[in-house]
Amino acid sequence: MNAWEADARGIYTLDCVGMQELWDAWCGVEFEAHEAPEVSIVEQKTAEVIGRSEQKIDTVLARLPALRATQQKLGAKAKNRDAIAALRDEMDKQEGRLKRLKKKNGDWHGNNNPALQFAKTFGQQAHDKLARDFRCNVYDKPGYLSGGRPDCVVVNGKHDCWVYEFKPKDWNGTDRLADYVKAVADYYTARMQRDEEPSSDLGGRAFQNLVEANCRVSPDSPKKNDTVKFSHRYETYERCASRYQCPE
Amino acid sequence: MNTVGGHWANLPSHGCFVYLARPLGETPKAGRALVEQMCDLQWSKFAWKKIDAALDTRRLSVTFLVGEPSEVHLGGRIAITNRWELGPTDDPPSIWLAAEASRWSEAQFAGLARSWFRIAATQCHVLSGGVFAAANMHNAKVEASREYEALAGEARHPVQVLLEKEPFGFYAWEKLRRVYPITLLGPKLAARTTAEELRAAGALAVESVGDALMFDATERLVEVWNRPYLDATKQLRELVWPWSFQHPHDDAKRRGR
Repeated sequence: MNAWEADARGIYTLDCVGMQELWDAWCGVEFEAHEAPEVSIVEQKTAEVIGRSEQKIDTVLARLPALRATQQKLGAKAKNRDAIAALRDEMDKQEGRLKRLKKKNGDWHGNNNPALQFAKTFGQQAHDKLARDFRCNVYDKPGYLSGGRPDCVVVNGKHDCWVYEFKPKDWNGTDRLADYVKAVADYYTARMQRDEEPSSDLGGRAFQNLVEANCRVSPDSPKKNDTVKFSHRYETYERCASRYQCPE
Repeated sequence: MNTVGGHWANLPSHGCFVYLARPLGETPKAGRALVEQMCDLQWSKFAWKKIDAALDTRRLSVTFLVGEPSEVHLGGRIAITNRWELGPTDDPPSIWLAAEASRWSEAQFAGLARSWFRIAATQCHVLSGGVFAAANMHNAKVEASREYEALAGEARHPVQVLLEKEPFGFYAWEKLRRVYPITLLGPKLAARTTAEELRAAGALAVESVGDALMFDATERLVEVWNRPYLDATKQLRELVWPWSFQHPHDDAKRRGR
């Protein structure tokens, strides 16, 4: 039954081959001046990936009747009742989801959409690499403000204190970087003024010391009257610089 | 909010910015007046209905972009209000614009920038402003907005390296960022000098706008981080140095500057 459940969940998790196929499709799109980009190729590839997953749905659903029979038999014994009840609930949930997904072209909303999974996973890989390249002291952590987390907080030296946001090069729009940089500065300023330690997720005492040594606005004034300040920058990356890598 | 415009056109460009002491939302007619000046730039899809809806004083800012995310030819932002009460270490509200020079000529851009300066000086609480040329849209956007952007893994453009060494933007509450080909001194900074002093230091034209002063440091809009510009503006840089950001690159007393 656990194997069935794993197979059911696996349908929603885009496998690596699917990811690489979507990658190649997306990065293969040419944007020529005066012509509409050929995103139909991406749509077609997404439909193929969805189609393969739909075939798997039928296979997984076909195994259910036999599993239900086994469930019933095992559940007759008192000692198994609770465990089987929990399993049954989970299988009911998965069965419901799979049946909804079985519609032609699927119902791939939200996190189930393979293209979205692809974009999220690749985006995460790109961010992880940038975090290593820029040696972020604090990388993608919540705690500075509600409803957001800056990509990277780093102190490189005297007055060299930054909050970075990582974005694909052709990204276009507005962003909360100004909010983040203020929240980061306010956070470490408050700790400096009150002589408190940040949480370990946000760098702890060591990082607070680094901030106070390098990022103060008026270092000659008493700490309780001073503030710290960060600059901010977008670091952009080429969406398709290196092919999506399957985790080992 | 910050704005990012994707691939900035790799074409010679111009940029301008204005720093304000109070958010533009406190003088809403000024916001519309600023945008009215942009009508002369003539791009399609410019619709007043959308602009008026966007200039709602509850909004943080209005952003302008002409082109595609793969190549942006004009970008700008008018900040209307602020999410938090502005403090002494917050950057002052600003408006900025960058446009590539083949589609929008130097004369057009400079004319628009001067109009912005006059509106800001007469209808807003203005601090300062600048107008300049840049090698490309990326440099123009970064200099005008102070929103640094860089492509990870690529060597920084020398101008970006210099810009990132600028002191924090909150100095603009009290100081002049630097001398630009067209420079606006709001009342507080204008009180530090006179039109006569500016002319004596080499300003080519000085105009009083209310309590503000607008002056031309060069005949044309030029790039502002190279040797010819430093040579042309040495006396002006010396004059404003005590009340400027004092970027080391601008220090006229440094050898060769």
